[in-house]
Amino acid sequence: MSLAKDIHERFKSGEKSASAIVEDHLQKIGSSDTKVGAFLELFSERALVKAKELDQKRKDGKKLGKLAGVPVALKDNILVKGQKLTCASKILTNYVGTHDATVTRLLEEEDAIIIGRTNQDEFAMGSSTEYSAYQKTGNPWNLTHTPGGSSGGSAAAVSARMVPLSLGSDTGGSIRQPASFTGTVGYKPTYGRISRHGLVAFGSSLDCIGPFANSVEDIALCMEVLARHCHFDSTSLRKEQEHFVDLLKEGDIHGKKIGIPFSFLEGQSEQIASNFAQSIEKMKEQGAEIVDIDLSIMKYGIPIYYILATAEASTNLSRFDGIRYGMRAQAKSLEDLYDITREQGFGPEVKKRILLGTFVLSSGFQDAFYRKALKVRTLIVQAFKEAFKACDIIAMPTTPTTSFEMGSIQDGLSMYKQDLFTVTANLAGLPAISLPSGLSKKGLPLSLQLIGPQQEDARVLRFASCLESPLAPPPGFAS
Amino acid sequence: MISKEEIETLAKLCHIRIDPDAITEKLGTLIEYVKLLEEVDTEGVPECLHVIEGAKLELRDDEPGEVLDTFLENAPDRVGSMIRVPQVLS
Repeated sequence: MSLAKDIHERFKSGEKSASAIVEDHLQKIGSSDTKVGAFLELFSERALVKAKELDQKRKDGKKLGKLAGVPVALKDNILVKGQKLTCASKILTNYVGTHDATVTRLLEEEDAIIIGRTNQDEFAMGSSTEYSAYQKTGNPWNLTHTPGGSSGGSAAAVSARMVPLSLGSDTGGSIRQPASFTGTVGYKPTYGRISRHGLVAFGSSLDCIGPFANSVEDIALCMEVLARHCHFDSTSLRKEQEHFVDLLKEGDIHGKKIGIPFSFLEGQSEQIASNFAQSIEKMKEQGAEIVDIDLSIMKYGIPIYYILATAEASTNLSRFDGIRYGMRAQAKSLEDLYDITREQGFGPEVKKRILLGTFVLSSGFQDAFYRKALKVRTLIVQAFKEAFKACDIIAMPTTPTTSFEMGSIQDGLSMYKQDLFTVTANLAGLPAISLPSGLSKKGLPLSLQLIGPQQEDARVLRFASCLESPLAPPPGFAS
Repeated sequence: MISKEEIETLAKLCHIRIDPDAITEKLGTLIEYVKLLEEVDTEGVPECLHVIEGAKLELRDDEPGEVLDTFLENAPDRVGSMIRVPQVLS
């Protein structure tokens, strides 16, 4: 059973105890994860204690939370008090969470059971999970291929039916791209809709926490729990709680306009182009009208992103200095302590991005790079706002390729171009979802991305819900 | 492209010991690539400081709240409530 909704119903009805649910999932993880490598650590003891408490809670007739009985996995950059967290980096070896992230607290308030932390690219920098300092994660559809990144572990865990729900983070596509590669539903909410308190920061103006699931309804359920204003996050939206599950049912897409940037999409691979063309037909069959929109500005998305995200990362990662937490190198002077700790603790991709970020912020280059990128970002925000005057939702592929073989992309810039269709939603703060839309000739998942205007999360989920069944292949995966 | 000296300066700024030869080409390629933005006309365009329309920087009142008592638990080298570091002053 792989849907959160079903597990929750079976628990609530008394058909299955939380303890049995957790034990079943731990067993499933035990047998599948030796091949997949999605989890860095299981919180088995903690999960079983929580399950026992929950079983007692139900026995006592107390009110049960919306996710009662549901096991959830968290990306290794989301804090759980008392549990280790590393962001898949050596520099945080043996770091133990000092407090719960807001999302951790919200999940547990609704009686979800956090079952473990999942693998990722180090500090969320990557598109394949290959940059983890600890282990490789395979794609459940083909274990020699990557699950995408940076939230590859969270995606693989859901794809392989080890958990029904997981959380990842998306700064340039790190939820949507792995969702695309693993045939799962992955959602990046409007920037600020879910609190970042307790998420280890990478690019603070871009980072979003979001869920992976095997159905849009499960995504909506998770959003109901997590989309709240948070006192600790100054960018958290002051928006009232939305009942996303109910909102899914409000109307269909008949007569609605779906905007597609046709000229920007020219030149895609045959596989991606033909699947996208099929998706367009299915959207029309559902009664939607297709509208051509101009998003040629998207061509600047990756350069802007790699200036702004690396600049913000160079600042955010300066806290990892060997002083207050994490790894500390042997050194005689303070300078050496910083320099050697960071040399030994960070992987090559992280170092490269910190250097680039430092460069674009440095005196003499800041105007030409960082401040220029901030201006072009404004143009991107404006372009999308303009496009939404002509349509209700925007559709395009999620990724320019299907999942690729591990080790096959060695050149950094080619890896960055994986983000071609995803970065602009982060740059413009927009909600965006990746939905499974078929299988390639090699049996690898393909997907469709839907993007909505700022704060229209309910709209994106509703469109996704209407298109979910028409688009997707039958469930299942090759193991 | 980027010179060895420029990389050494950057490494000092961001406090990472690094071998410039190992990274000069990769970093140079990236810098050349992001220069693509030079072709965009941004005359009169404001910098994007708040991506969400209508958002403002929210500051809290300067009042003490909860104190995290666990924050020292991860210190690599601790003496009581102090963290020990290499000598700073001579």
